[in-house]
Amino acid sequence: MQDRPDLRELLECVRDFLQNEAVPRTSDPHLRFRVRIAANVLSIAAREIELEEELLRKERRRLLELYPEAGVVVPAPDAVQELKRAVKGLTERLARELRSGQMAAAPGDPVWSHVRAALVEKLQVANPAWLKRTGKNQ
Amino acid sequence: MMSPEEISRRLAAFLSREARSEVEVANLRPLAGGASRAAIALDLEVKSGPQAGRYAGVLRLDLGGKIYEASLSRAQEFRLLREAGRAGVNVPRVFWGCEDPSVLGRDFLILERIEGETIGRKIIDAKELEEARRLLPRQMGVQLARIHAMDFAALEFLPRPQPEEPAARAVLRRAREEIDRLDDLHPALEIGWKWLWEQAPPCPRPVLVHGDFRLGNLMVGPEGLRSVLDWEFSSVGDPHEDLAWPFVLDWRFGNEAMRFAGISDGAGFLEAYQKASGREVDGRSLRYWEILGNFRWALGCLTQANRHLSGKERSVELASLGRRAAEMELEMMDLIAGSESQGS
Repeated sequence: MQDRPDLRELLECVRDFLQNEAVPRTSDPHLRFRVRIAANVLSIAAREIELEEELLRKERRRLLELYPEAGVVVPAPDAVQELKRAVKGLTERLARELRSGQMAAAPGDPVWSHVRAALVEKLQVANPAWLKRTGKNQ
Repeated sequence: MMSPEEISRRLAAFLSREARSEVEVANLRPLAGGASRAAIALDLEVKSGPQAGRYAGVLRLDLGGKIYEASLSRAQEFRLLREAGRAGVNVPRVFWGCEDPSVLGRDFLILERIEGETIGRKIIDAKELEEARRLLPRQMGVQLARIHAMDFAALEFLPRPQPEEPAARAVLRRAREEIDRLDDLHPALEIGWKWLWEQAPPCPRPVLVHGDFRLGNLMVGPEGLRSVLDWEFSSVGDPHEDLAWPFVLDWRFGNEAMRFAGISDGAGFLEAYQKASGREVDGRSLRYWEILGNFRWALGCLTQANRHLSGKERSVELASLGRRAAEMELEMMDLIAGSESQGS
């Protein structure tokens, strides 16, 4: 167990430093643009720490509805890394089967809904403001 | 990258040989460039000989990688820009081009410097460009009609579809290779690719396609469109590719409600294009190419992030694009769903 600031707090303090101290003092417009991007990248990382496990569990649940037999092999992974490996494996399988035609997706069917939900989950981490603005968070 | 002094010194030596004269290179300053190329303003003076005179130029210098593998070389872009100028398209004049790596280590062009705004977000927001925003849709329609009327017979290097093949499928075959080069698999791209392949509309009369026709690749002043830039993704293809591209969600630069480039509903743009080109815009093809546009830009984001991840070009800007692909994939899926429910 580490002392505080914890991981999220560390990221947030660097982000605030970039945004509030570095950006206003950077006169080169290119550099300022990239400093803003760097601050935004840290916001993404902080949100990912917060949401990662919850989103992976949701994603895995949906993938198991598409591939029920996969749940028998790896019943309920505890560690986030294990969870990630399981989701990655099934996602790759889905991509391969969509490509080969073994799986198909049409608007509204379970495969389509799963893939769309996974994109929304990515953007809850990467760009929640965009999701809200475009009304695509549904 | 080299220091400005080093670039000046090497350019002066190169240009002295080219122009057979003493050449002075001065006032280098970086401009807003693209992700694959740097743009540096510079002033040139050729002291004597047939090219004697002062030149307000911009140096377009290749960076490490390419966004799409199919992008053109500088020599090809040089020829294309000359042809575009002859066809009445507003383009900067090309002063010099060079593909000799011993000069700057990278390919480059020196173009006429045209002042104005190229940053999409600023074109959409700037107070002094209000009149420009009103004029741009029609001006863009007219310019695009001229581009699509260009004679591409002599431009043999442009990628083009097989005879009888829908132009979209040529694009998709190239995209397939790029998907296969990514490290991760993407179900949404697979869904999109399949749908796009099956729905590819016929393209009876292929034209010269600019390939990246949107705000951000135009030089804009208070009176509107000054110049069409960034021709490196040109090909022979379906005119609807260019027509649909500025409608793509991300090219509305945050002003999503304005479907055309974030500045209008697009009616004036399409009307001006039809009038100037004598071509009918097909509504179904336009919707199709908007979907393909989102698919391509999603893939473009992943490809650029890969340039960072592979170590070819470490950059926080490129890296961050990897997390943006989902925006385009989501828009693509929603547009497909919308088009399916319309039954088209």
